[in-house]
Amino acid sequence: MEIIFNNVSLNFSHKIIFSSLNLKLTSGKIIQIIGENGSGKSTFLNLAAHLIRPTSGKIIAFCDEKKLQGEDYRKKIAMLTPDMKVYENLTAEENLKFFVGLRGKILSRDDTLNLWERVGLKEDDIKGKYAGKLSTGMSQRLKFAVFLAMDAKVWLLDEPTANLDEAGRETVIREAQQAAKKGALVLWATNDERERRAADEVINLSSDTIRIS
Amino acid sequence: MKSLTFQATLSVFRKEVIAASRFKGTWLTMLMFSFTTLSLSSLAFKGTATDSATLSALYWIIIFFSAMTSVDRLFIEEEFSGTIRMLKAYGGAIPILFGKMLYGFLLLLAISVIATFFFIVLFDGNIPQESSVFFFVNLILGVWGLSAAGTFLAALSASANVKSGLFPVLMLPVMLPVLLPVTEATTEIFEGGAFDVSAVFPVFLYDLILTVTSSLLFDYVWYEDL
Repeated sequence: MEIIFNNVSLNFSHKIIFSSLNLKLTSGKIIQIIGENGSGKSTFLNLAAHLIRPTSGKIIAFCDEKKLQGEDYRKKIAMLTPDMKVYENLTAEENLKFFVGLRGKILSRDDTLNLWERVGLKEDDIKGKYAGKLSTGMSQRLKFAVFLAMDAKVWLLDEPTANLDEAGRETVIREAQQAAKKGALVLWATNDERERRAADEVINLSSDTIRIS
Repeated sequence: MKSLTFQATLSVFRKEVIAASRFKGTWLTMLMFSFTTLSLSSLAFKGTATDSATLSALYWIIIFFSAMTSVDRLFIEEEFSGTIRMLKAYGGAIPILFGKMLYGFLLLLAISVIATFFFIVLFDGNIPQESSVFFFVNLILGVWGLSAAGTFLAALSASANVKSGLFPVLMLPVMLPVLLPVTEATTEIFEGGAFDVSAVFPVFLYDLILTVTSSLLFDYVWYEDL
């Protein structure tokens, strides 16, 4: 998997967010996106996800040397951001099944239990409970379970350990490292020093010249 | 690929049904609106003979405003509850559009059937046997148009910066080509008219155009403004 930013510029209401960005992001690595607040970390992930369009330039994705566009590309992506919310009036399991269903997949009982275990959720704690009744940390783990269930080739993580305890943070780092080892491209926006050790490469959006280092 | 889209569409539809069964506000509001309007109109007319055109207009006003109170919420609630980000990240544009459209269609159809029952009881009305097929075809086409245009415009107004007021302003001109012929056809039905293809075919065509155009344009509405 490869994502190429080709001369990408983005303006929001006359404010220049990115100007002539040229980057080649390749799979099998964890690439952390760092920078001050407002430097455009979340916007960078949204661009990479093709959820917003650049003002000029192109963001091209390749999988096995085949160019991917539109839905074909979006189906390779999983995204986790702090402002994403699950449905409060659905149970944890209903949420999981719904979001997985959006990709046309059906989860077996074993798959569901396996996902709860991977994110550190105990079924007894969440069974029959509406997501709106879960604690913030449990809700974050539920979102991470949805994220993992996508089995994506491109991981887009925006401060994924927010609201998680130390064990939760370790889970996210471990899963991201395993995914990168298996060939996923992991883009991880963070300002948390404790997550830096997970990075193979870093893109600093606050520097004058934006490049991978 | 087609079956994946179908599965995803069903998943959206199922979620809407589950959510509606737990939060009854939307359909109860629609039912109460229908019942209140019909009761008040019935009392105001006090059993005086009312012509078919007036009854037909009243009938479609109720269905139109029921649609305005329900379809409008399909996307704005996702926006307010913050779930729209997850939906955009994981859901394809087409399954989201058609899943919500299907739900809007069936909800509005169910409410319309119940409103028809109230209508018949309160106005001592009658849909002649020979007009029943015409009535249901006309109703389905009217509801299809309302849900197709409504779902697309609800998404458009939910992603606009000025949310309040945009939906009804857009909905009325888009819906006039459906509302005028279905109201006229309903007048004919109340007068015992038999099934008339020439009355329903233009509406069918317009509904089809609305649905296809919505599906072609929805990608831009769904992904551009995040």
